[in-house]
Amino acid sequence: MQKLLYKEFNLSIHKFYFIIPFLTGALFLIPQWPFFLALMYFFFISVPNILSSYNSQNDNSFSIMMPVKKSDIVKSKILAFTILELTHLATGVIFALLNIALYKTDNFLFDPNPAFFGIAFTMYGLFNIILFPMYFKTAYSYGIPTLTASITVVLYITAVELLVLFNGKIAYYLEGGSAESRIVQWIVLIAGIIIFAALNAAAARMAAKRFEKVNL
Amino acid sequence: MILKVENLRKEYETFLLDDISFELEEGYIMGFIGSNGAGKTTTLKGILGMIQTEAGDVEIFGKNFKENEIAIKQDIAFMTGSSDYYLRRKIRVITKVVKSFYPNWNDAVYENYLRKFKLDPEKKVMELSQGMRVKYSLALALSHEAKLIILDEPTSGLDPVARDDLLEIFQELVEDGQKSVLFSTHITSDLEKCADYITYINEGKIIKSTSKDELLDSFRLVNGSEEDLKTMKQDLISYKINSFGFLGLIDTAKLSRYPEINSEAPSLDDIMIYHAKREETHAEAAV
Repeated sequence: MQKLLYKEFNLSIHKFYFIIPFLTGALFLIPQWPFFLALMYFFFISVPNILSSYNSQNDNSFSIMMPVKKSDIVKSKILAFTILELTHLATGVIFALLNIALYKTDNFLFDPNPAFFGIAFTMYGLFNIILFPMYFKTAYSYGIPTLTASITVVLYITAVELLVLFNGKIAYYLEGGSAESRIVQWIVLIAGIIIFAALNAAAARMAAKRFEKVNL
Repeated sequence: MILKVENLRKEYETFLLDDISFELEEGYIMGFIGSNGAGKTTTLKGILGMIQTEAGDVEIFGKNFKENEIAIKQDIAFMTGSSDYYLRRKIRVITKVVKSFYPNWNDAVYENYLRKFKLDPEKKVMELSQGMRVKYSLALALSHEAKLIILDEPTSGLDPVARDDLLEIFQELVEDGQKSVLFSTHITSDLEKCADYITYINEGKIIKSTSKDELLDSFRLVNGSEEDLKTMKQDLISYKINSFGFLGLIDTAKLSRYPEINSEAPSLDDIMIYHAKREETHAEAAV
Protein backbone atom coordinates (compact mmCIF):
# COMPACT_ATOMS: atom_id res chain seq x y z
CA MET A 1 0.00 0.00 0.00
CA GLN A 2 2.74 2.42 1.03
CA LYS A 3 4.72 1.33 -2.03
CA LEU A 4 1.74 1.94 -4.28
CA LEU A 5 1.40 5.41 -2.82
CA TYR A 6 5.09 5.94 -3.56
CA LYS A 7 4.35 4.82 -7.13
CA GLU A 8 1.41 7.24 -7.39
CA PHE A 9 3.55 10.24 -6.44
CA ASN A 10 6.74 9.26 -8.25
CA LEU A 11 5.39 7.80 -11.44
CA SER A 12 1.68 8.44 -11.92
CA ILE A 13 0.70 11.84 -10.54
CA HIS A 14 2.76 14.73 -11.84
CA LYS A 15 4.28 17.16 -9.31
CA PHE A 16 2.34 19.89 -11.12
CA TYR A 17 -0.80 18.80 -9.25
CA PHE A 18 0.88 19.72 -5.97
CA ILE A 19 1.60 23.24 -7.25
CA ILE A 20 -2.00 23.86 -8.31
CA PRO A 21 -3.27 24.02 -4.68
CA PHE A 22 -0.94 26.98 -4.07
CA LEU A 23 -2.23 28.75 -7.19
CA THR A 24 -5.88 28.12 -6.44
CA GLY A 25 -5.27 28.78 -2.74
CA ALA A 26 -4.11 32.28 -3.68
CA LEU A 27 -7.63 32.88 -5.00
CA PHE A 28 -8.66 33.26 -1.33
CA LEU A 29 -7.04 36.68 -1.57
CA ILE A 30 -9.68 37.94 -4.01
CA PRO A 31 -11.97 40.18 -1.96
CA GLN A 32 -15.66 39.26 -1.76
CA TRP A 33 -15.40 36.02 -3.68
CA PRO A 34 -17.04 32.54 -3.57
CA PHE A 35 -14.10 30.81 -1.88
CA PHE A 36 -15.48 27.30 -2.32
CA LEU A 37 -14.63 27.75 -5.98
CA ALA A 38 -10.90 27.89 -5.13
CA LEU A 39 -11.20 24.38 -3.65
CA MET A 40 -13.33 23.17 -6.57
CA TYR A 41 -10.67 23.72 -9.22
CA PHE A 42 -9.35 20.33 -8.07
CA PHE A 43 -12.47 18.72 -9.58
CA PHE A 44 -12.23 20.64 -12.84
CA ILE A 45 -8.47 20.50 -13.47
CA SER A 46 -6.65 17.85 -11.47
CA VAL A 47 -9.19 15.01 -11.37
CA PRO A 48 -9.94 14.59 -15.10
CA ASN A 49 -6.29 15.11 -16.04
CA ILE A 50 -4.92 12.60 -13.54
CA LEU A 51 -7.55 10.01 -14.46
CA SER A 52 -6.88 10.51 -18.15
CA SER A 53 -3.12 10.14 -17.60
CA TYR A 54 -3.76 6.79 -15.86
CA ASN A 55 -5.31 5.67 -19.13
CA SER A 56 -2.64 7.05 -21.43
CA GLN A 57 0.15 5.61 -19.29
CA ASN A 58 -1.56 2.23 -18.95
CA ASP A 59 -1.27 2.54 -15.23
CA ASN A 60 -3.52 -0.37 -14.32
CA SER A 61 -1.52 -2.83 -16.43
CA PHE A 62 1.62 -1.65 -14.66
CA SER A 63 0.17 -1.70 -11.14
CA ILE A 64 -1.38 -5.14 -11.39
CA MET A 65 1.99 -6.64 -12.31
CA MET A 66 3.43 -5.53 -8.98
CA PRO A 67 3.04 -7.76 -5.91
CA VAL A 68 -0.17 -6.09 -4.77
CA LYS A 69 -3.87 -6.88 -4.55
CA LYS A 70 -6.42 -5.25 -6.80
CA SER A 71 -8.08 -3.65 -3.78
CA ASP A 72 -4.76 -2.05 -2.76
CA ILE A 73 -4.57 -0.32 -6.14
CA VAL A 74 -7.96 1.29 -5.46
CA LYS A 75 -7.08 2.27 -1.91
CA SER A 76 -3.75 3.81 -2.91
CA LYS A 77 -5.38 5.94 -5.60
CA ILE A 78 -8.12 7.15 -3.26
CA LEU A 79 -5.49 7.93 -0.63
CA ALA A 80 -3.40 9.83 -3.20
CA PHE A 81 -6.44 11.91 -4.20
CA THR A 82 -7.27 12.49 -0.54
CA ILE A 83 -3.73 13.78 0.07
CA LEU A 84 -4.17 16.19 -2.85
CA GLU A 85 -7.51 17.35 -1.41
CA LEU A 86 -5.89 17.89 1.98
CA THR A 87 -3.17 19.94 0.26
CA HIS A 88 -5.88 22.11 -1.30
CA LEU A 89 -7.49 22.55 2.12
CA ALA A 90 -4.15 23.31 3.80
CA THR A 91 -3.19 25.97 1.28
CA GLY A 92 -6.77 27.25 1.52
CA VAL A 93 -6.37 27.71 5.28
CA ILE A 94 -3.08 29.59 4.85
CA PHE A 95 -4.51 32.00 2.30
CA ALA A 96 -7.78 32.33 4.23
CA LEU A 97 -5.79 33.49 7.27
CA LEU A 98 -3.95 35.93 5.02
CA ASN A 99 -7.30 37.18 3.69
CA ILE A 100 -8.59 37.80 7.22
CA ALA A 101 -5.37 39.54 8.22
CA LEU A 102 -5.34 41.72 5.10
CA TYR A 103 -8.96 42.78 4.66
CA LYS A 104 -10.43 42.56 8.18
CA THR A 105 -13.96 42.56 6.70
CA ASP A 106 -16.64 39.91 6.31
CA ASN A 107 -17.09 38.22 2.94
CA PHE A 108 -20.32 38.77 1.02
CA LEU A 109 -20.58 35.01 0.56
CA PHE A 110 -19.44 32.33 3.05
CA ASP A 111 -16.59 33.61 5.26
CA PRO A 112 -13.43 31.48 5.28
CA ASN A 113 -13.86 30.35 8.90
CA PRO A 114 -13.70 26.87 10.56
CA ALA A 115 -17.28 26.10 9.48
CA PHE A 116 -16.36 26.93 5.89
CA PHE A 117 -13.57 24.34 5.99
CA GLY A 118 -15.84 21.84 7.75
CA ILE A 119 -18.26 22.13 4.83
CA ALA A 120 -15.33 21.96 2.40
CA PHE A 121 -14.38 18.61 3.97
CA THR A 122 -17.92 17.31 3.40
CA MET A 123 -17.75 18.63 -0.18
CA TYR A 124 -14.61 16.58 -0.88
CA GLY A 125 -16.15 13.55 0.85
CA LEU A 126 -19.30 13.85 -1.25
CA PHE A 127 -17.25 14.18 -4.43
CA ASN A 128 -15.18 11.09 -3.57
CA ILE A 129 -18.14 8.85 -2.69
CA ILE A 130 -19.68 9.61 -6.08
CA LEU A 131 -16.54 9.64 -8.22
CA PHE A 132 -14.64 6.56 -7.08
CA PRO A 133 -17.35 3.86 -7.06
CA MET A 134 -18.47 5.10 -10.49
CA TYR A 135 -14.94 5.34 -11.91
CA PHE A 136 -13.77 1.95 -10.67
CA LYS A 137 -16.67 0.23 -12.38
CA THR A 138 -14.50 0.43 -15.49
CA ALA A 139 -11.25 1.94 -14.13
CA TYR A 140 -11.13 3.62 -17.52
CA SER A 141 -14.12 5.89 -18.24
CA TYR A 142 -13.78 9.02 -16.17
CA GLY A 143 -16.01 11.54 -17.99
CA ILE A 144 -19.44 10.70 -16.60
CA PRO A 145 -18.13 9.92 -13.07
CA THR A 146 -16.23 13.24 -12.89
CA LEU A 147 -19.18 15.20 -14.30
CA THR A 148 -21.72 13.55 -11.99
CA ALA A 149 -19.58 14.14 -8.90
CA SER A 150 -18.75 17.72 -9.95
CA ILE A 151 -22.37 18.67 -10.68
CA THR A 152 -23.48 17.21 -7.34
CA VAL A 153 -20.93 19.22 -5.33
CA VAL A 154 -21.68 22.41 -7.27
CA LEU A 155 -25.39 22.01 -6.40
CA TYR A 156 -24.50 21.19 -2.79
CA ILE A 157 -22.26 24.23 -2.35
CA THR A 158 -24.75 26.50 -4.15
CA ALA A 159 -27.40 25.36 -1.66
CA VAL A 160 -25.04 26.05 1.27
CA GLU A 161 -24.18 29.54 -0.01
CA LEU A 162 -27.86 30.37 -0.60
CA LEU A 163 -28.79 29.19 2.87
CA VAL A 164 -26.10 31.33 4.50
CA LEU A 165 -27.09 34.27 2.32
CA PHE A 166 -30.83 34.14 2.90
CA ASN A 167 -31.34 32.33 6.21
CA GLY A 168 -30.39 34.64 9.05
CA LYS A 169 -30.34 31.95 11.70
CA ILE A 170 -27.95 29.72 9.75
CA ALA A 171 -25.80 32.74 8.89
CA TYR A 172 -25.71 33.67 12.59
CA TYR A 173 -24.31 30.29 13.58
CA LEU A 174 -22.03 29.65 10.62
CA GLU A 175 -20.68 33.16 10.10
CA GLY A 176 -21.41 35.03 13.31
CA GLY A 177 -18.72 36.33 15.63
CA SER A 178 -20.44 35.45 18.95
CA ALA A 179 -18.89 32.86 21.28
CA GLU A 180 -21.89 30.61 20.66
CA SER A 181 -21.44 30.89 16.88
CA ARG A 182 -17.73 30.18 17.10
CA ILE A 183 -18.36 26.95 19.02
CA VAL A 184 -20.82 25.86 16.35
CA GLN A 185 -18.27 26.68 13.63
CA TRP A 186 -15.61 24.49 15.26
CA ILE A 187 -18.16 21.68 15.71
CA VAL A 188 -18.98 21.92 12.00
CA LEU A 189 -15.26 21.62 11.21
CA ILE A 190 -14.83 18.51 13.38
CA ALA A 191 -18.05 16.97 12.00
CA GLY A 192 -16.81 17.76 8.47
CA ILE A 193 -13.54 15.94 9.09
CA ILE A 194 -15.38 12.90 10.48
CA ILE A 195 -17.81 12.85 7.53
CA PHE A 196 -14.89 13.21 5.08
CA ALA A 197 -13.09 10.22 6.64
CA ALA A 198 -16.26 8.11 6.74
CA LEU A 199 -17.22 8.88 3.13
CA ASN A 200 -13.68 8.12 1.92
CA ALA A 201 -13.65 4.79 3.73
CA ALA A 202 -17.04 3.91 2.21
CA ALA A 203 -15.87 5.06 -1.25
CA ALA A 204 -12.78 2.85 -0.99
CA ARG A 205 -14.84 -0.18 0.04
CA MET A 206 -17.40 0.25 -2.73
CA ALA A 207 -14.80 1.07 -5.39
CA ALA A 208 -12.58 -1.91 -4.46
CA LYS A 209 -15.56 -4.24 -4.72
CA ARG A 210 -16.36 -2.97 -8.20
CA PHE A 211 -12.73 -3.02 -9.36
CA GLU A 212 -12.50 -6.73 -8.51
CA LYS A 213 -14.92 -7.38 -11.38
CA VAL A 214 -13.00 -5.28 -13.90
CA ASN A 215 -11.13 -7.29 -16.51
CA LEU A 216 -7.76 -5.64 -16.94
CA MET B 1 5.24 -28.28 -9.85
CA ILE B 2 5.85 -24.58 -10.35
CA LEU B 3 2.50 -23.88 -12.02
CA LYS B 4 -0.71 -25.86 -11.98
CA VAL B 5 -3.83 -24.58 -13.71
CA GLU B 6 -7.05 -26.51 -13.19
CA ASN B 7 -10.36 -26.08 -14.97
CA LEU B 8 -10.08 -22.35 -15.53
CA ARG B 9 -13.22 -20.87 -17.04
CA LYS B 10 -14.03 -17.38 -18.25
CA GLU B 11 -17.19 -16.40 -20.06
CA TYR B 12 -17.50 -13.42 -22.34
CA GLU B 13 -20.51 -12.59 -24.45
CA THR B 14 -18.84 -13.79 -27.61
CA PHE B 15 -16.07 -16.02 -26.29
CA LEU B 16 -15.76 -18.88 -23.84
CA LEU B 17 -12.53 -20.00 -22.24
CA ASP B 18 -13.38 -23.40 -20.88
CA ASP B 19 -11.80 -26.09 -18.75
CA ILE B 20 -8.23 -24.81 -19.09
CA SER B 21 -5.84 -27.17 -17.32
CA PHE B 22 -2.09 -27.60 -17.64
CA GLU B 23 1.04 -27.89 -15.53
CA LEU B 24 4.61 -26.66 -15.74
CA GLU B 25 7.60 -28.07 -13.90
CA GLU B 26 10.63 -26.20 -12.60
CA GLY B 27 13.45 -25.61 -15.03
CA TYR B 28 11.50 -25.81 -18.25
CA ILE B 29 10.21 -23.55 -20.97
CA MET B 30 6.60 -23.93 -21.97
CA GLY B 31 5.29 -22.40 -25.15
CA PHE B 32 1.64 -21.49 -25.12
CA ILE B 33 0.46 -21.52 -28.71
CA GLY B 34 -2.73 -20.75 -30.47
CA SER B 35 -3.92 -18.58 -33.29
CA ASN B 36 -4.96 -14.97 -32.76
CA GLY B 37 -8.04 -14.84 -30.56
CA ALA B 38 -7.63 -18.44 -29.32
CA GLY B 39 -7.59 -17.29 -25.68
CA LYS B 40 -3.87 -17.12 -24.87
CA THR B 41 -3.87 -13.68 -23.26
CA THR B 42 -7.18 -14.36 -21.49
CA THR B 43 -5.69 -17.54 -20.00
CA LEU B 44 -2.54 -15.79 -18.80
CA LYS B 45 -4.58 -12.94 -17.33
CA GLY B 46 -6.90 -15.49 -15.71
CA ILE B 47 -3.93 -17.26 -14.13
CA LEU B 48 -2.70 -13.98 -12.64
CA GLY B 49 -6.08 -12.75 -11.42
CA MET B 50 -6.16 -9.81 -13.81
CA ILE B 51 -9.58 -10.89 -14.99
CA GLN B 52 -12.29 -12.40 -12.88
CA THR B 53 -12.72 -16.06 -13.78
CA GLU B 54 -15.94 -17.98 -13.24
CA ALA B 55 -14.25 -21.21 -12.16
CA GLY B 56 -10.90 -22.87 -11.77
CA ASP B 57 -7.87 -23.04 -9.49
CA VAL B 58 -4.36 -21.80 -10.00
CA GLU B 59 -1.47 -23.08 -7.91
CA ILE B 60 1.94 -21.45 -8.17
CA PHE B 61 4.89 -22.84 -6.17
CA GLY B 62 2.38 -25.31 -4.69
CA LYS B 63 0.23 -22.54 -3.17
CA ASN B 64 -3.21 -21.33 -4.15
CA PHE B 65 -2.73 -18.09 -6.10
CA LYS B 66 -5.82 -16.27 -4.86
CA GLU B 67 -5.03 -16.97 -1.21
CA ASN B 68 -1.33 -16.10 -1.49
CA GLU B 69 -1.39 -13.48 -4.23
CA ILE B 70 1.11 -10.99 -2.79
CA ALA B 71 3.65 -13.60 -1.65
CA ILE B 72 3.48 -15.46 -4.97
CA LYS B 73 3.77 -12.26 -7.02
CA GLN B 74 7.07 -11.55 -5.23
CA ASP B 75 8.55 -14.54 -7.04
CA ILE B 76 6.95 -14.24 -10.46
CA ALA B 77 7.13 -11.77 -13.29
CA PHE B 78 4.53 -11.09 -15.93
CA MET B 79 5.08 -9.15 -19.10
CA THR B 80 2.57 -8.20 -21.73
CA GLY B 81 3.77 -8.21 -25.31
CA SER B 82 4.00 -4.52 -25.87
CA SER B 83 5.05 -3.36 -22.37
CA ASP B 84 3.43 -0.07 -23.26
CA TYR B 85 3.17 1.51 -19.84
CA TYR B 86 4.87 4.72 -18.77
CA LEU B 87 6.41 5.07 -22.21
CA ARG B 88 7.60 8.61 -21.59
CA ARG B 89 9.34 7.85 -18.33
CA LYS B 90 13.01 7.02 -18.03
CA ILE B 91 14.05 3.46 -17.28
CA ARG B 92 15.88 4.74 -14.19
CA VAL B 93 12.65 6.26 -12.79
CA ILE B 94 10.51 3.20 -13.50
CA THR B 95 13.11 0.88 -11.97
CA LYS B 96 13.27 3.01 -8.83
CA VAL B 97 9.53 2.50 -8.35
CA VAL B 98 9.52 -1.19 -9.31
CA LYS B 99 12.37 -2.10 -6.96
CA SER B 100 10.52 -0.57 -4.02
CA PHE B 101 7.96 -3.39 -4.31
CA TYR B 102 10.49 -6.23 -3.97
CA PRO B 103 12.36 -6.83 -0.69
CA ASN B 104 14.68 -9.32 -2.42
CA TRP B 105 15.67 -6.89 -5.18
CA ASN B 106 19.33 -7.19 -6.09
CA ASP B 107 20.96 -4.02 -7.46
CA ALA B 108 24.13 -5.81 -8.58
CA VAL B 109 22.11 -8.30 -10.66
CA TYR B 110 20.11 -5.44 -12.17
CA GLU B 111 23.23 -3.46 -13.13
CA ASN B 112 24.69 -6.61 -14.61
CA TYR B 113 21.64 -7.20 -16.83
CA LEU B 114 21.57 -3.54 -17.91
CA ARG B 115 25.14 -3.98 -19.15
CA LYS B 116 24.45 -7.38 -20.69
CA PHE B 117 21.34 -6.16 -22.53
CA LYS B 118 22.98 -2.81 -23.36
CA LEU B 119 20.15 -0.84 -21.71
CA ASP B 120 20.73 2.83 -20.99
CA PRO B 121 18.91 3.80 -17.76
CA GLU B 122 18.57 7.38 -19.00
CA LYS B 123 16.49 6.29 -22.01
CA LYS B 124 12.74 6.51 -22.04
CA VAL B 125 10.75 3.32 -22.62
CA MET B 126 9.40 4.75 -25.89
CA GLU B 127 12.95 5.11 -27.17
CA LEU B 128 13.53 1.36 -26.84
CA SER B 129 12.88 -1.08 -29.65
CA GLN B 130 10.33 -3.82 -29.03
CA GLY B 131 13.11 -6.33 -28.37
CA MET B 132 14.84 -3.99 -25.92
CA ARG B 133 11.57 -3.47 -24.05
CA VAL B 134 11.26 -7.22 -23.55
CA LYS B 135 14.87 -7.30 -22.34
CA TYR B 136 14.15 -4.46 -19.91
CA SER B 137 11.18 -6.42 -18.52
CA LEU B 138 13.42 -9.46 -18.16
CA ALA B 139 16.08 -7.39 -16.37
CA LEU B 140 13.41 -6.27 -13.89
CA ALA B 141 12.12 -9.82 -13.47
CA LEU B 142 15.54 -11.32 -12.89
CA SER B 143 16.61 -8.60 -10.46
CA HIS B 144 13.88 -9.60 -8.04
CA GLU B 145 14.80 -13.24 -8.61
CA ALA B 146 11.53 -14.26 -10.23
CA LYS B 147 11.29 -18.02 -10.52
CA LEU B 148 8.35 -18.10 -12.88
CA ILE B 149 8.43 -15.71 -15.80
CA ILE B 150 5.23 -15.39 -17.78
CA LEU B 151 5.41 -13.48 -21.03
CA ASP B 152 2.53 -12.72 -23.35
CA GLU B 153 3.67 -12.71 -26.98
CA PRO B 154 7.20 -11.49 -26.24
CA THR B 155 8.42 -12.29 -29.74
CA SER B 156 5.63 -10.78 -31.80
CA GLY B 157 6.83 -7.78 -33.73
CA LEU B 158 10.50 -8.72 -33.38
CA ASP B 159 12.80 -9.27 -36.32
CA PRO B 160 14.29 -12.79 -36.70
CA VAL B 161 17.62 -11.78 -35.15
CA ALA B 162 16.04 -10.19 -32.08
CA ARG B 163 13.72 -13.20 -31.76
CA ASP B 164 16.54 -15.67 -31.87
CA ASP B 165 18.48 -13.59 -29.36
CA LEU B 166 15.52 -13.57 -26.97
CA LEU B 167 14.91 -17.30 -27.28
CA GLU B 168 18.54 -17.92 -26.40
CA ILE B 169 18.13 -15.78 -23.30
CA PHE B 170 15.11 -17.90 -22.30
CA GLN B 171 17.23 -21.02 -22.62
CA GLU B 172 19.98 -19.51 -20.47
CA LEU B 173 17.42 -18.58 -17.83
CA VAL B 174 16.19 -22.11 -17.23
CA GLU B 175 19.69 -23.63 -17.25
CA ASP B 176 19.98 -23.57 -13.45
CA GLY B 177 16.87 -25.74 -13.24
CA GLN B 178 15.12 -23.36 -10.83
CA LYS B 179 13.39 -20.93 -13.13
CA SER B 180 10.59 -21.64 -15.57
CA VAL B 181 9.35 -19.63 -18.49
CA LEU B 182 5.81 -19.70 -19.84
CA PHE B 183 5.38 -17.65 -22.96
CA SER B 184 2.58 -17.33 -25.43
CA THR B 185 3.18 -17.01 -29.12
CA HIS B 186 1.61 -17.69 -32.46
CA ILE B 187 5.00 -18.04 -34.10
CA THR B 188 5.61 -21.77 -34.06
CA SER B 189 9.28 -21.54 -35.04
CA ASP B 190 9.90 -19.95 -31.60
CA LEU B 191 8.78 -23.19 -30.02
CA GLU B 192 10.73 -25.41 -32.34
CA LYS B 193 13.84 -23.55 -31.18
CA CYS B 194 13.39 -23.46 -27.45
CA ALA B 195 10.24 -24.95 -25.90
CA ASP B 196 10.38 -28.10 -23.79
CA TYR B 197 6.63 -28.26 -23.38
CA ILE B 198 3.80 -26.97 -25.47
CA THR B 199 0.29 -26.11 -24.48
CA TYR B 200 -1.90 -25.67 -27.49
CA ILE B 201 -5.12 -23.73 -27.20
CA ASN B 202 -7.77 -23.35 -29.86
CA GLU B 203 -11.11 -21.53 -29.61
CA GLY B 204 -10.80 -21.26 -25.83
CA LYS B 205 -10.06 -24.94 -25.23
CA ILE B 206 -6.81 -26.76 -24.57
CA ILE B 207 -6.15 -29.23 -27.36
CA LYS B 208 -2.96 -30.68 -25.86
CA SER B 209 -0.49 -29.85 -23.14
CA THR B 210 2.53 -32.04 -23.40
CA SER B 211 6.19 -32.19 -24.36
CA LYS B 212 7.02 -30.81 -27.78
CA ASP B 213 7.99 -34.22 -29.16
CA GLU B 214 4.89 -35.88 -27.78
CA LEU B 215 2.69 -33.22 -29.33
CA LEU B 216 4.31 -33.73 -32.72
CA ASP B 217 4.06 -37.53 -32.30
CA SER B 218 0.39 -37.45 -31.37
CA PHE B 219 -0.70 -36.30 -34.84
CA ARG B 220 0.08 -37.46 -38.36
CA LEU B 221 -0.32 -35.68 -41.65
CA VAL B 222 -1.96 -38.03 -44.12
CA ASN B 223 -2.60 -37.83 -47.84
CA GLY B 224 -4.54 -40.00 -50.20
CA SER B 225 -7.14 -40.16 -52.94
CA GLU B 226 -10.71 -38.93 -52.73
CA GLU B 227 -11.74 -42.60 -52.29
CA ASP B 228 -9.49 -42.81 -49.21
CA LEU B 229 -11.04 -39.63 -47.90
CA LYS B 230 -14.53 -41.16 -48.02
CA THR B 231 -13.47 -44.02 -45.76
CA MET B 232 -11.46 -42.04 -43.23
CA LYS B 233 -13.24 -38.66 -43.22
CA GLN B 234 -14.85 -39.20 -39.81
CA ASP B 235 -11.47 -39.88 -38.17
CA LEU B 236 -9.71 -36.83 -39.57
CA ILE B 237 -9.33 -33.70 -37.49
CA SER B 238 -9.82 -31.81 -40.75
CA TYR B 239 -8.63 -32.01 -44.34
CA LYS B 240 -7.99 -30.03 -47.49
CA ILE B 241 -8.91 -31.25 -50.95
CA ASN B 242 -6.29 -30.77 -53.63
CA SER B 243 -5.83 -31.91 -57.24
CA PHE B 244 -4.23 -35.19 -56.10
CA GLY B 245 -6.87 -36.09 -53.57
CA PHE B 246 -6.66 -34.77 -50.00
CA LEU B 247 -4.28 -33.79 -47.25
CA GLY B 248 -5.45 -34.12 -43.65
CA LEU B 249 -4.48 -34.39 -39.99
CA ILE B 250 -5.29 -37.43 -37.88
CA ASP B 251 -4.68 -38.56 -34.30
CA THR B 252 -1.73 -40.97 -34.40
CA ALA B 253 -3.78 -43.45 -32.34
CA LYS B 254 -6.31 -43.72 -35.17
CA LEU B 255 -3.72 -44.12 -37.90
CA SER B 256 -3.46 -47.90 -37.41
CA ARG B 257 -7.02 -48.23 -38.78
CA TYR B 258 -5.64 -47.19 -42.18
CA PRO B 259 -2.42 -49.18 -42.75
CA GLU B 260 -2.27 -48.36 -46.45
CA ILE B 261 -2.41 -44.57 -46.14
CA ASN B 262 0.67 -42.36 -46.62
CA SER B 263 1.59 -40.45 -43.51
CA GLU B 264 4.29 -38.14 -42.28
CA ALA B 265 5.10 -36.10 -39.17
CA PRO B 266 3.30 -32.76 -39.11
CA SER B 267 4.87 -29.44 -38.20
CA LEU B 268 3.43 -27.33 -35.37
CA ASP B 269 1.98 -25.08 -38.07
CA ASP B 270 0.14 -28.06 -39.58
CA ILE B 271 -1.32 -28.96 -36.19
CA MET B 272 -2.54 -25.41 -35.65
CA ILE B 273 -3.93 -24.98 -39.15
CA TYR B 274 -5.90 -28.24 -39.25
CA HIS B 275 -7.36 -27.72 -35.78
CA ALA B 276 -8.40 -24.20 -36.72
CA LYS B 277 -9.95 -25.57 -39.90
CA ARG B 278 -11.96 -28.11 -37.90
CA GLU B 279 -13.45 -25.30 -35.82
CA GLU B 280 -14.37 -23.46 -39.01
CA THR B 281 -16.04 -26.55 -40.44
CA HIS B 282 -17.97 -27.12 -37.21
CA ALA B 283 -19.05 -23.50 -37.14
CA GLU B 284 -20.23 -23.71 -40.75
CA ALA B 285 -22.08 -26.97 -40.04
CA ALA B 286 -23.83 -25.34 -37.09
CA VAL B 287 -24.98 -22.48 -39.31
